[in-house]
Amino acid sequence: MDEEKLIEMISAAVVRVLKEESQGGAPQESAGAGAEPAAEDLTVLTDLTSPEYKQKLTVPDAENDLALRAMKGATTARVGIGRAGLRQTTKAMLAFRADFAMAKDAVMKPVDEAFLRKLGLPTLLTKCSDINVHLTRPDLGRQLSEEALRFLHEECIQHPQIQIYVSDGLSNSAIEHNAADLLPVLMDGLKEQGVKTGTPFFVKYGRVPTMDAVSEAVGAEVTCVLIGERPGLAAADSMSAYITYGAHTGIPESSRTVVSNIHKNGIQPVEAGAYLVDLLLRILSEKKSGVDLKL
Amino acid sequence: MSTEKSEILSVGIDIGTTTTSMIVSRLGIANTAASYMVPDISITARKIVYRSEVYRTPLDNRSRLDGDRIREIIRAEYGRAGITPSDVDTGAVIITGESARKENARVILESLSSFAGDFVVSTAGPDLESIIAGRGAGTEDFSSRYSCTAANLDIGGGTANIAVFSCGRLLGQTCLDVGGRLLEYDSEHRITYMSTSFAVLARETGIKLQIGQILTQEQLLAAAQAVAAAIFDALRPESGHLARTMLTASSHPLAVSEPIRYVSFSGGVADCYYRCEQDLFRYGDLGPAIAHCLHEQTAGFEVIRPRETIRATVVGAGTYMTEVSGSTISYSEDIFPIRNLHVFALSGQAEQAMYQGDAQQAVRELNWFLDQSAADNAGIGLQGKKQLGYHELCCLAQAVLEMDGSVFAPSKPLIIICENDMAKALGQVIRRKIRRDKCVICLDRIRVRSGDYVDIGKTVMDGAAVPVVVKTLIFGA
Repeated sequence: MDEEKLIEMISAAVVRVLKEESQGGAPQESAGAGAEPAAEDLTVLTDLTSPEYKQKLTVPDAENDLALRAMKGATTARVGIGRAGLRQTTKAMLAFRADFAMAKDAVMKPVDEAFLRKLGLPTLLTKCSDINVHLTRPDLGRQLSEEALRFLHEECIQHPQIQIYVSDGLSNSAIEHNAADLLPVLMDGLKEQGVKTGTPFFVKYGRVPTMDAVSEAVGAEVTCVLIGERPGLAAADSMSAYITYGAHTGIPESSRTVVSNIHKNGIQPVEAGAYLVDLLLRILSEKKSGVDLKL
Repeated sequence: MSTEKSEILSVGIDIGTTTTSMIVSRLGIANTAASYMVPDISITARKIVYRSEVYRTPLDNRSRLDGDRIREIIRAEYGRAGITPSDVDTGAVIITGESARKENARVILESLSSFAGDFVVSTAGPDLESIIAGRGAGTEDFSSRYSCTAANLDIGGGTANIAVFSCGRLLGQTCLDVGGRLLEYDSEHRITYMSTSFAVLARETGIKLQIGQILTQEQLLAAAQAVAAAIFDALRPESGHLARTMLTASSHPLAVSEPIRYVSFSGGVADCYYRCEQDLFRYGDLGPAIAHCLHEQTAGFEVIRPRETIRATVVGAGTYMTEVSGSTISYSEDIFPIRNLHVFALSGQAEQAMYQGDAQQAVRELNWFLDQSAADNAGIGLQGKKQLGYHELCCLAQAVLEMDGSVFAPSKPLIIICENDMAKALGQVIRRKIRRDKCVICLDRIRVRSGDYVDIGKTVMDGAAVPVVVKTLIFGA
């Protein structure tokens, strides 16, 4: 039997089965448990990445809906998502892929330039020339470009008590969603306390230790970077503040104090800004950060 | 900012229709957030270190509490517990039960304040008593541990306090004027007392009894049956007629849509219930008979054993009345403790306008409130926003300043209590814009309603947070 004939036979068989199924009306009972709830308005599209969808009960006939709801409320992990036969449901799979896409976008897309202009932040580059270099060469991301160094020396306030700047890190959306609300609370709060703060700016393709190079360049006593966290499947827009007293190249990571999880479903950016004001003042007065600082 | 743990000493005193008791507990306060996050401070341990005996509540006559004897009991119990007023950080005195017996409650509370140290003497309204009893009985924890809906029925001498919890959340509460001491009789079963609420109940259920009459077991059970029926009537989805008739004056009918699966009993009657008291005439009241009749009412529910029975309310008062504020609060001066701060919660509309910088409605509402309560100061309750932008924050701060300037005298502290996490940011912005010598306090994670009174304790965790007791006073001003 030649190959062509075989394919023809197989197609014919498949078409026959499909026809039978469509005429047969009721399809075979699928593996029992796990069918998605039937009554659903198909004209309204649900945002599968929304917190509301994540809290929705998608297990039909659960033994204890209250317990299921409590479990889902206790974690952003994908628990109690139901199943179709042995596999996950289409919706659960789509939700996973939507979250994954958001995480990838958060890493790959640059921070909107118009957004940075509005905040009045000039952009400085590290030694990374594009996003792929940024992702594959952390060593280059820790160093500032010649132009950036020139800018820091010539255009910025020298020897500030506290240097604050913003960097993309691994999430542009973290910056776009949180920096505009946090930064002014922080800057105004420090100014009010009479602290000499440095010129704020944005570092593109930055890593956390880039702050050591920044600190050396401007001669800052305390350096604080607001940086996008590596996105997960739960939150793609989480920002952190890393603070280092007397930062210099090669300083151990244990010298950094961090405040993480700043995002709309975590610590509110304005409240985080207010918290950081007090924290920075303490680090300035105690002259230490990281594990040496008892919180 | 915060040491790892703090501990505060809390006293709970319950003066009920029939019994009075006291407990001493240690509340452990700790930061539960990871070191790389903004602290999250909460009460993590509640340990009861002393329980008093249960005393018969001393009365001058039917409607007046005997303040001197109550004070003596508490003084003796402080001695036995080995504590002095200055050791005590927080706590609550609760006068529960029949409202008729609360005639001189205010005076009692004032006379007990000498035992308070820096803690705060407070009372709860009937609804709050129900919640406190449900927490003290452990029913809230049960509903959380087993992800279920459970009701606690605290049946005392004069009132039945009901609270329903689901998965650790309060669904609703109510209070009825029924209990074991609505009717009393002597050793010959001759009726010596019937409360006014018993007269109402008797009329509703066709019971005909008179003072001086000898009570038969049948009549006793009929009266108890009426009480038990009223209590379970309150658990119906729409709250039945009998329950509504017996509703305590300032309480509300239960409005719970979820089916209730478990019930627990606390209060004096609960002890009779769980040990299946056989002698129905034992205490000269309805208690054991009510307990007997409850057995017939519980069909359709699963009955669970509470952590506390007769002491549920006092345990609740001593261990659950105190909350801890959010850890990102702001205060310009340490003027704590603050006692009996009357709170006015702005309407949602007024608050929304403030996010646009418009304080007009807030000023109107606040003036009305001060007028009504004949006061010159109040704490401002705000709901706050889950997601607050910088611009809105500045507008809100501006509006708060405007409100403060046009309503309060400059010498008065400005105290703001928000439900959502935004107090530190709001406090910082306000302080930046206000006169330097003005005292500004902003707290969050505390939910208040208009008319509530709030006690704010001395700071804990190195000044990061404050203990707070929110209470509703039941007496008019």
